Amino acid sequence: MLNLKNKILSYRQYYKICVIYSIINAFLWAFWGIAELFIMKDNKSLLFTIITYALLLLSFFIVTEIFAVASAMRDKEDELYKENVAKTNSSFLWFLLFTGFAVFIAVNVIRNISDTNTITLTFHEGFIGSLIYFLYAVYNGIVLHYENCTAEEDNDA
Amino acid sequence: MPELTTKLKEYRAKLDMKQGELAEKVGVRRETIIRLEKGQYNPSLKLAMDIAKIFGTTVEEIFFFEDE
Repeated sequence: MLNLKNKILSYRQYYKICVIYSIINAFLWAFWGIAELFIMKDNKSLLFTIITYALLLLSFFIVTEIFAVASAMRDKEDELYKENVAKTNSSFLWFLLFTGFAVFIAVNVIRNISDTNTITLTFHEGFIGSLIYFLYAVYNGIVLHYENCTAEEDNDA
Repeated sequence: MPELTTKLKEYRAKLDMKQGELAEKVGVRRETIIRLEKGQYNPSLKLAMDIAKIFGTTVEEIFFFEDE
């Protein structure tokens, strides 16, 4: 049996796990949103709703547990890591600001060129869940990028 | 502006100590020691003092400004 307690994850391994599972979960939630809104729109049964909710809840607990186990298996005291996290926080804020601005411009452009002059936005919990996991994947991806920049590149000479 | 330079590599070589060993002793990872030796990272006061203690010297002996 795999002994997880004695295994130590490198920073890069940990962030790769976070990115991969966040993206998987983001797709899962997005798929559920699409299925509910478009594919199963007219013939949605109670069974379908129960199964999808159960699956999403299960995926949430599994992914949260994976993150918790992986987090417990790594060292969080390194100075360079703290510097990388500080850089990531700054980059992530810029990403949010830039994305928000881009969405605002895009929505306004579409609204102005469309015939109806109005846009209907549907907020479905599947898309909101997907967005949260996607943003989490982006955050971890940025840390992973900085970690790759500080990767081992020298020997003990 | 003067750059912070280090003699860390020389001190480590004197004791025949690997980067990984030093990293473990001061509680950081090897990448941090690599970046320190290359002058790409400024250590915290605690890390600088821990390193100086390992080599039995002062912080100023290991880390100093280029123009000094």
